[in-house]
Amino acid sequence: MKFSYNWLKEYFDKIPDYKKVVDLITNHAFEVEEVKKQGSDYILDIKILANRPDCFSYLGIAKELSAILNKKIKLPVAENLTGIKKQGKSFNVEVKDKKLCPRYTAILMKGVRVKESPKWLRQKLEASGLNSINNIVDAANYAMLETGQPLHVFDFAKIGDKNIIVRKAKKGEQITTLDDNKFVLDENILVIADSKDSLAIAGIKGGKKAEITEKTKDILIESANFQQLVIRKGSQKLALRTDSSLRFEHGLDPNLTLEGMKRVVFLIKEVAGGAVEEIADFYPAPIKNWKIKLNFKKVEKILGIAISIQEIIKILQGLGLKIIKKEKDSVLIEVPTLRKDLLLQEDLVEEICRIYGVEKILAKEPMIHAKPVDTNESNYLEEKIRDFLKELKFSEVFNYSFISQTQKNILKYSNHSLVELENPLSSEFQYLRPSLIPNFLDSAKKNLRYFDKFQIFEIGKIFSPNGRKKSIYDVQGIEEKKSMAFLMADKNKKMELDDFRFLKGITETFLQELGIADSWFDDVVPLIQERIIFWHPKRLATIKIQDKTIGQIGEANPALLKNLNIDANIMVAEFDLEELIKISREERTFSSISAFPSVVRDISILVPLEVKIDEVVRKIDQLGGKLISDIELFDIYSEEELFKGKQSLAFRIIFQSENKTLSSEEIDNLMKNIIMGLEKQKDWQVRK
Amino acid sequence: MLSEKELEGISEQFKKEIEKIDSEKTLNEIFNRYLGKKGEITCFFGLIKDLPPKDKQKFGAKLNTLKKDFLEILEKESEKIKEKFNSEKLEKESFDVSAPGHKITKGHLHPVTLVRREVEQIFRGMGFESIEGPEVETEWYNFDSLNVPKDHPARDMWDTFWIKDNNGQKNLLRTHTSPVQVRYMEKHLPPIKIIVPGRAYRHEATDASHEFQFHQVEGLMIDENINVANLKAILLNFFRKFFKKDVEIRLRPSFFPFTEPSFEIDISCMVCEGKGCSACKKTGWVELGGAGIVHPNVLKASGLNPKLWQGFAFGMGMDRLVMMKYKINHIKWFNSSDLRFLKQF
Repeated sequence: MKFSYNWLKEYFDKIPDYKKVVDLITNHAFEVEEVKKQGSDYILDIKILANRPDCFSYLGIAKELSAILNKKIKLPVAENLTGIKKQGKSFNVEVKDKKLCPRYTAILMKGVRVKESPKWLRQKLEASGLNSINNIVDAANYAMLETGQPLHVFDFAKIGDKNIIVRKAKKGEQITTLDDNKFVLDENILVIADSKDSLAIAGIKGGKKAEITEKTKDILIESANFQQLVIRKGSQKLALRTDSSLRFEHGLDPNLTLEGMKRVVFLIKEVAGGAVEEIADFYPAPIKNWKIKLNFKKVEKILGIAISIQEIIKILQGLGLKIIKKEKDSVLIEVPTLRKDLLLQEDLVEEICRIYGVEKILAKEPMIHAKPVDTNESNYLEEKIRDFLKELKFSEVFNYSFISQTQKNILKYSNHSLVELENPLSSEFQYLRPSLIPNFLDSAKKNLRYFDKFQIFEIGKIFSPNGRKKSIYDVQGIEEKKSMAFLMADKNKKMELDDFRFLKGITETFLQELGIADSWFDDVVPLIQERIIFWHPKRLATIKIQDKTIGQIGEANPALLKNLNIDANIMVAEFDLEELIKISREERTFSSISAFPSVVRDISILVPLEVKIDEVVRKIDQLGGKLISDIELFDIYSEEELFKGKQSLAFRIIFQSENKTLSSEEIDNLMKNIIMGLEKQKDWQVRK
Repeated sequence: MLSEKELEGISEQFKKEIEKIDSEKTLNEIFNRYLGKKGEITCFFGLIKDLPPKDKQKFGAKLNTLKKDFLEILEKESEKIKEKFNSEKLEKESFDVSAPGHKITKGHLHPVTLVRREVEQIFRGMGFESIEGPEVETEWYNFDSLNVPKDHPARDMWDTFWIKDNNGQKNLLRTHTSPVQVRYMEKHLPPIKIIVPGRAYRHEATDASHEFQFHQVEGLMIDENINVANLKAILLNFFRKFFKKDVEIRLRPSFFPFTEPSFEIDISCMVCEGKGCSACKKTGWVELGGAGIVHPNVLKASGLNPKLWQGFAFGMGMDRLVMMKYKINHIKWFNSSDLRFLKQF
């Protein structure tokens, strides 16, 4: 909110220069976000905190400065309103809901002369960013800026039946505001009305009907208090935020209406003449000051610094708080209704802290309990996984946790499989991601513009609807899980099996690193719609540990990639990270390395295409027995014409014993045994 | 005639000549001259048969020793020449070390991950454990338990993404990492020392330093008497370790419903060292987060007795720390998955 330095100066005999004032306000009260020179004045843009509606005013800021500088404030001259005729003869005020309007003060003034405001008034409004309208409206705005109490002035002649009714709008009721905008209202919006029409949107904006014009002679001034919520919701609903609504929605003190009224009447008399005729003050439940007992020890306990009792009391008094009773180690404070942010001892400590100066509190290390920090096991493993993927040349990416309407359509996600946002930023971020893969594809696409080949991974949360069930975090209806995925993109489309085997190799190494030995790759994949859209129907496996599915690896469906304009091979794996971490075992034991040389033999075999390579490996392993230490597949060849429905597989078999050097005779016998065994299989043929 | 004198003469002569060896060629010449088919030593062997029998054996033995010595010496010379030749050959080779090195592919971790680890490590050194929590939260944990009442304008401080109503549940994307404070205090008794790094979301316009999806790190320390002076010390220690500089911190009065008193955390600008520059809008200070003493209502909502326990909480923009650390000019890079950016870390 903008404040003029020159205006603030008027409340004091003397204050420091603007620079010093800016520093003082920033360090002791509110952040000054910007300072602008304007003629001989400086305009301070002060960020008033949400719990200080009393400071949406010059007097509020002046009081802060008064406390900080420890200087008396010069209060502005105000009209004495005691002894004025009470309402009843000339007009009537009726408040329908005292919860929504706890106080309504109105004054009838007669014989004012509407004209242009004097220069000093115009200048002051302009310095605070308000336009000058005429002397009456300007006086009301001036009083609002100064006291913080929004004021509204009606042309008394235009109020039908001289009845002021504060009520909820009717559904569909229309109003034209002072700036000629039309609004359609509903029951959640409060209006000020006469017997027939609404005259103003309460606390937000005045209406055209009872507008002040040059012809206006008699005026009705409104100084009311409205419940913050009804103003806040009304203002949001109408998308209409005004100087008045801003103050009301932060919750104003009902006792402020009279302060505002006294000042505005004085000002109107000054600039427009006229005389007060009658006053109405609807205030069924007056709010009174309250008391807080402050224990001096509490100050030191919270701040960690000793401040003298004398200093504490000086600060509290400087803030306008009354000392009711002082005891040896405590003091009883009376808080004015204006300061509804002060309810607890802690709130008073904050006041003492900021006025005293936070910078005077010196850093002091806490005394701590010397106990070891618990290691969060799952965090530890997650970090290990990150390092490990990095070692395997994957780069970590972060994506948004959202997917778009378009992604939903392309990947054919059903409505019930996604968590939708009530108020998305745009349709681009409409759903929470159910998997890391959709955004991963975008990552791949973007990066293929600059790189022909790359490997990326991501660890992040994924979300799915959970009906009435609660998640592990006790959040009902939504399941939130940590997922881990990696992707390889390559513009040079190689042999498909090679890519898959590479990915599988990485997956296996990765699982080994996590101490998971008993995983296997299952080609039976659950028939979930989005999986069919996403994956290549054949080049896909489910990763299992015993019977538990922990992830999926495979190739992205070429049709989908074409649809997305991605011209590259994309291999992806996604894992349930939480499950992985649960299963992972860190312990590993060393197995001794044989002192005896290994012997290598190659074997090449023709088998029908439908025979799984794993089956051949297992057969060799079984036939070769204990002396086989490893079997590596080093070539696959399946050219149609040459082999007619068969594939040629070449294996390297490594023999090694723990306790002797193997003789070539021994190996020859083993090989004979293996070859014989393999050839016993139907249509298997060892190539010699 | 074969005589001892003559053998000595040859030996002398040989020793003189080998000093002239400077190449393989001269070496071969000398070898041939003495040990070749017509070499002098070879000739002497031919002369032995003409000697009287008593001398045959003597001269034979002498000649053999001589031959062996000569061979040994020549062998050594040959080694020397080879060595010299090899090193000369290497010297002559032309080689350009300025040729570019091969491009080695390696993996990279996200800068936010790197900075998070560093933050965790520093706080771990001060005894803080790193904790996580859910990103989809209930209204209770994100607001009510943190002393932000329903329909309170304070809620406007956090523009919230709401999840579409599901069976009457009003869930949201957490607007800060603070809910984890309550979740942790519900299950642990003080002394409590945790930090909570994580993602949070706000429904707001984005610019160079604001994203609607961002990273925060929350801190919470609760014991019997943890106070503002302690908060200052922990923050100061952290920033000085993190930036490896003697930065200053400034706490400024602020308002958060969940702390009382509340502060903004500023650190002295590292570009101008507090003198005032464009990076800090001429103030000399850069805002990094908020902090305060945990409000008694939050302790109560977490099941702790505010009469017994007291402590601080703080929250900082992790992205901000990353941007400052690596001098990154725009937050948009973080969620871009752009490898041109990520490969720099």
